[in-house]
Amino acid sequence: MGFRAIYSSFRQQLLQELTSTYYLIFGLLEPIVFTFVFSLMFQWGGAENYIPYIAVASGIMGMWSVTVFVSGGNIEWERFLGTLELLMATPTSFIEIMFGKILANSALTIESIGVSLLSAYFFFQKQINVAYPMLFIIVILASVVSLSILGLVLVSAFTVSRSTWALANMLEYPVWILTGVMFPISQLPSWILPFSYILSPTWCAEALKMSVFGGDVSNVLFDLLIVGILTFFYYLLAKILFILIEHYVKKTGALQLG
Amino acid sequence: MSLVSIKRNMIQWFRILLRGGLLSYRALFSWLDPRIYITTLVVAPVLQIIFFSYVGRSIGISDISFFVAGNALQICAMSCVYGVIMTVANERLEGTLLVILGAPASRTAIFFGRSLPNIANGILTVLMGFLVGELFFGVHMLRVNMLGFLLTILVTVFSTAGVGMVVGSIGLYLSRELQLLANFAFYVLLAFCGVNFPAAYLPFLLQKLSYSLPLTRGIIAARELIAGASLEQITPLLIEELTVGLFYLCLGFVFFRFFEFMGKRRGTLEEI
Repeated sequence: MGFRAIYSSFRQQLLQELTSTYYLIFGLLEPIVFTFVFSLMFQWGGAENYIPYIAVASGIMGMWSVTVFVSGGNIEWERFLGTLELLMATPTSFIEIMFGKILANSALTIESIGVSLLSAYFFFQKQINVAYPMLFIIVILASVVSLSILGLVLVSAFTVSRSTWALANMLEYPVWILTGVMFPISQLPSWILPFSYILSPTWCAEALKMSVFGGDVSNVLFDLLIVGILTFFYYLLAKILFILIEHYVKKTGALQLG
Repeated sequence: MSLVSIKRNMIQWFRILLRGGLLSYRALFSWLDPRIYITTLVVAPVLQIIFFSYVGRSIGISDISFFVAGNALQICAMSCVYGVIMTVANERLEGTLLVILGAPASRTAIFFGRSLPNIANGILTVLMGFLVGELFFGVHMLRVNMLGFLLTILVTVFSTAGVGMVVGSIGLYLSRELQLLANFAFYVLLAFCGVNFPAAYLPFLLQKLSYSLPLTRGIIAARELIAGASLEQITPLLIEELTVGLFYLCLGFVFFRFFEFMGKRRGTLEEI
């Protein structure tokens, strides 16, 4: 694996995204709005001690939105500028370039959780206490890596699709629903639950909540193990898809058209 | 001016209004790509209703119709706010904005033409939202006062499009921030119009803001209809909603002329 290529791509993307409108919308604006909306919903419902839960959940939602929309936006922008073919044709592996880009997007999503926690404190003047700070940081880092690899799977679809935005639009709410980030997945119909379990954000969300509110550490470690296993499968899937896509776009010459 | 030339001018005005609006609308969805249309204006709004209804149920609110009515009406903002704004943004991106504003065509026809197809689409989206409520959550809309229900949708969608025209007009001047503004407007309506919680839970100043925005009264009217209110009972709410909408539409037109002037003066109409 070309770490130099990944690092260069990561660095370039990080600098680029800090000035990106999409990042401002999904990484900054959205967590603030959702923290505000959910806090008032929970207040209305008569819930107690809900602020930390909402702050963490809104942050996770922001992480997923950035992964979907910023990664989709990257592909669409490269296509618009006519550089997508160059990235594909360069001797450096396309998957390495894209992994560096998505890793940067996901790393920036750490800020989503920070923004949610800060806005919860700002709006409602409530101190947020994290039960296991070290575990919390480890879970966040694991979530960043896992979402990056899952993002790679999505990018493979974005690359060959002319409807990048259509796909991105379709992927935001389903994952929020399936992963039970804002409500227990036990509310969902039982036939949907297997889809929830194969999504690493489901386990990331659960581990993050437990590391904030406390509970059995072994449960958090179990969640992390599942995240690791699922992420490994996502990586294998992404590898296969990228090989197929490279073959497909070279054969059809339709990369610019999607 | 002779009667014939007045008639010709009127036909020309309506042609620009309808054909211009329709063409810009088709361009908005990448030349009528049904995949983009369906995912943006069908799938995402439907999922929004489902998501918030589940959250509502999890916090112990048994009346799911509250969330169905709020979100079904708010999703018209996807078309009436986001759609209108992106129409301007796309014309800038494709380089057609300069040509349109360089033409001697009626500005009112151009302005209202951009909102009409989005309003029609907004109505369809809202109807579909209520259908989702019926199918997924058993919120029966057929039992409500049908005339009141249709009028509520019409008035609310129209007034929401006013916000789209205001922000879209600002887009004649600001280019890079347009996407951010579109999302900001969408989120303002989601957060402050009592979509997912009663507006009374907002802090005092934000309650004032809530009632100065479109949607708020329309959503209350829809909820009252579901609770069994008659058309007469919700008429004051609809009149107020219509007034708010007309105010935003007029403001949007003033902004349109002002920012067209500013854009031409500063040469920012071509900026991407």
